[in-house]
Amino acid sequence: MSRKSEPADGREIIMARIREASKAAGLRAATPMPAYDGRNGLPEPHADRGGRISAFARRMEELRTSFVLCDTLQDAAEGMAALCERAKWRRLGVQSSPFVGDVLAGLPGGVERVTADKGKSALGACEAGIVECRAMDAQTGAVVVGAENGALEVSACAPTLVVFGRAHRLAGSLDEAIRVAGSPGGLTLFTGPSMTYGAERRPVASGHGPTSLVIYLILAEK
Amino acid sequence: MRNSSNADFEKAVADFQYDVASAQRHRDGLDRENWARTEARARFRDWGAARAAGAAIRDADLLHLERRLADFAARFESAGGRLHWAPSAGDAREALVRIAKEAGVRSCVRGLSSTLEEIGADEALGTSGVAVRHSQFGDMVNHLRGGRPSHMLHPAMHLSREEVGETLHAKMGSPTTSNPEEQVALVRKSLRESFLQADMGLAGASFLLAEEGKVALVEHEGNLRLIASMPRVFVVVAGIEKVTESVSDLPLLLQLVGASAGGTALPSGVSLIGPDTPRACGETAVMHLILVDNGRSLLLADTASAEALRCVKCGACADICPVYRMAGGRAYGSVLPGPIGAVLTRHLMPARGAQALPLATPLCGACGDVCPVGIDLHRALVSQRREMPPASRGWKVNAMLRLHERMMSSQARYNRGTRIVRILAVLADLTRKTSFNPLSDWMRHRTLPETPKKTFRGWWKSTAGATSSAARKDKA
Ligand code: SF4
Repeated sequence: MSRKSEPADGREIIMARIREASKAAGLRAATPMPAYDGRNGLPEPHADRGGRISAFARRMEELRTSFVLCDTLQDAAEGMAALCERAKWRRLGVQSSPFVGDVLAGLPGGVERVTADKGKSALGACEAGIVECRAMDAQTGAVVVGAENGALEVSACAPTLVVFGRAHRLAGSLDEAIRVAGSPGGLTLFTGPSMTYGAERRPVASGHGPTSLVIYLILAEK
Repeated sequence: MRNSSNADFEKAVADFQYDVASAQRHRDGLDRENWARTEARARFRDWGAARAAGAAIRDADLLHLERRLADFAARFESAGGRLHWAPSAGDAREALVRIAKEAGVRSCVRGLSSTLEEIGADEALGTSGVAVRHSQFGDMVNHLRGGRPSHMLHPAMHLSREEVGETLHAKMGSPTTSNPEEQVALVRKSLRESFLQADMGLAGASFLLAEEGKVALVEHEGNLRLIASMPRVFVVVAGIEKVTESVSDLPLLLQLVGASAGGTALPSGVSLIGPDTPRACGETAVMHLILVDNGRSLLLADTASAEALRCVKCGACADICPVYRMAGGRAYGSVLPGPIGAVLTRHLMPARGAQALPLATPLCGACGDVCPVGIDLHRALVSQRREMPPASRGWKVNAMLRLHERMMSSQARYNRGTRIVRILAVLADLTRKTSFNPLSDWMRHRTLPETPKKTFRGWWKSTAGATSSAARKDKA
């Protein structure tokens, strides 16, 4: 569906100005174009799986993110149940996905699961949010979460965000991580918990997003 | 921008320096940031190559701006987004108010964005009866105090934690605390309802992805994710220069921004959102984008300053600038303090009187060296100084420039001039604190070097140098 939002004038005026400016070619005269291969300058990517996992674990520590390595999905589910009990969570915002359903299978009784379709206020009252991640980057420590099935709202609201990912989705560079994540409706890259630089420009690990981040990385492929 | 002249700038600097503690906090903040940036760059295999590649990406975007915008518009609109083209700031304000009226918006929560300040979004919405809340911590505190921003990303960095605590207590009725974690937690709690209840979310964008028709929101606090996902109407206001070819450009650009803006591998949150992104918990959510020209296309045609449109708003040029270090950000009176602000403010917000800002730089070149997309800020500033209307330089500077021009236009005048200048220098020093001295303002903070006994030419004649050059002449 293509829809014109405005009378065309604004667009035509701007495009005509740009064409005019291109004739003056200020930019062309000003800047020689260097050969582009950005990857040459970026930090070294990690090629092998072991190297990626240990680099990712190191980055998680630097980013003050809790990192849990699990052999199987079953281990992750048990870890999640224990975390929920320890933190005394009663209300969790959850992404509606089979994978998230599996890792929450062992939750203690009485813990409410709130999906995005329950509305903003219900999500806003949750103590933690549970989502799956589409990809991770060992180099920067970025965790890529999609926007599908309520993941955007759950991850935006949660004071603590718990993310589950599989090791085969751990990439060696950000470039690769974005490719692995694919193109769902939207993506969010989390690199550590939210930060605020307020008074005196000192970073405070808190803000409107998750103030703590927990990552479960599952080694088994299935 | 309320500073209209050199004198206003100087007064603001003097006020800033007078507040010794605030000036020291400002410098400490810059030192920490500059150190973190140096460390972050060291992680790159080749910072220079990455930077050149970033410049090349942004240049290609600007060279193909018309095509990029057309591609973006097609994708964005076919995904159900409403696009509004605003040739001027006034058009952008009109579009914003129209969107709010049509959607019955009464409340709005917004992010930190220089483009929102440029178009005067708050005033436009306020006069239409829409209550606006600022959500970025420093921006919100500054807004509550009615103060000017001191940095493009950290607008309240000049404040102490005690001052922030007092402001939150006075304006929001929060318990008094000087603990930054507690302060942020209080604001988080107070703003949560606004995010959940607001009709409209309003933000700027860091990049527009032409192939995907999505916007990239870069942040640290998580407020932009809430702005984008909770209210039923989401409006992004972005300059036309923000468009880049595709998501494949982002890994490099984001790592350059991360290293330069906060000394980190990446900013802590980056969201790619489009009209087809499921949002607002299943309610019908509409996404609007207001694309603003407002002087950018003119800048594109300017040989010396077009590169400034590459800017990714990392703030590094301000952090490194010796004038910004001593002047503080508020003296610039612009939401974009520092060297890039001196270049862009004149073009994008000329009505706010930024004519003297290109003088607020020593032209040392540090800004261009630190810029992650290699903008030659030094060149742009020199060119803008040339274009400054003579009146904005003040009569003293103009008179001196005219004298200098005459003196340099012939050897005889130059020789006479150097003799006169030596006498004037002694007189200037003797009368430095009096109103007879037209340089008294300038000399309040500076000492002229001691006048040597001989001129250089006199000294040269009296040394072996003169003999050897005479011998060379004879030989020739
Ligand atoms: S001009 Fe360069 S250094 Fe300054 S804010 Fe823009 S990108 Fe950063």
